[in-house]
Amino acid sequence: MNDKRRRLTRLTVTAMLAAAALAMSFFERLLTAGLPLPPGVKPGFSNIAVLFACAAVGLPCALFIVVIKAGFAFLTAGATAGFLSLCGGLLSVLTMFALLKLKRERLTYAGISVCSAVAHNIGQLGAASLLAGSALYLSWLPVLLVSGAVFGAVTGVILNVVMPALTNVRFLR
Amino acid sequence: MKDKLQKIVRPADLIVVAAVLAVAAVLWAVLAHLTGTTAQIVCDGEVIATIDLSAVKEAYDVTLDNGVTVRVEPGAICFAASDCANLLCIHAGKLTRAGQSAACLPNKTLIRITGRDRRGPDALTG
Repeated sequence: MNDKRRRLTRLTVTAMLAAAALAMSFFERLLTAGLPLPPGVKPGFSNIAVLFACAAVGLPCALFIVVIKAGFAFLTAGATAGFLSLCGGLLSVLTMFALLKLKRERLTYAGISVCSAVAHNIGQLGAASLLAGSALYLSWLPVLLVSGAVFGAVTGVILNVVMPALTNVRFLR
Repeated sequence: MKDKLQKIVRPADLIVVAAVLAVAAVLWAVLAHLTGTTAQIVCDGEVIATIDLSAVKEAYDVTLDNGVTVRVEPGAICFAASDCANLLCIHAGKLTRAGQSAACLPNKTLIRITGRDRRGPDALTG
């Protein structure tokens, strides 16, 4: 009974986090709609939900959210966007999982978030190169590295700030 | 107060950010160094046109079979028109330096400036 209940809780929390991730990416699109951001550069607020999922619930939960996000991108922006989202998301989750597994007394979520944002951008760039059948996307890499560092730090600091409040929520434990 | 700050950011986080920015700066510098002016138009993985941009005197448009229009200017190349939905290719703007590229993924079209160093290496170390 207890085990069943735990599984049910995990399912519910995963669904909630997936919904939160989608809501945050939608909100982000509204926020940046008028800004002349270069292609591929975006805040990545949904990374907050994914990193929280990976840290507090587990790797399957984070992977599930990434797949749902890619599915959402597929439905709203097309197959190309879905594929790019999936490649970036998977690489970013694997990066954060590896970093969380390592002893992380020194690194906070800010550092992990920067690494996963950079991994996300590299994954997308790699996928785009694959689709275009050309590896000459290298020139875009510096821009995406800087944007990953800046926005990854922002989302990571946000998670650092809200994490104490979230760990007080009983059913999340 | 210091304790609270420690939870928000720690030195290791800053080192990670600095490392990423340093790698970006080095990449940028290396790419900026490779100045060349030969542009390629690639469709579906095949190079369909190679243009020496330094020899271009007047701007002209090239319309490809898939409906994408590429504008060629003296020393620059860019997407001018496309029927794709997000128009990321056009927003990519003008390409002027070696290593730069822009792509229209829905139409599988890519323009790029190939790296060609004018005078060979600046320095060699042994």
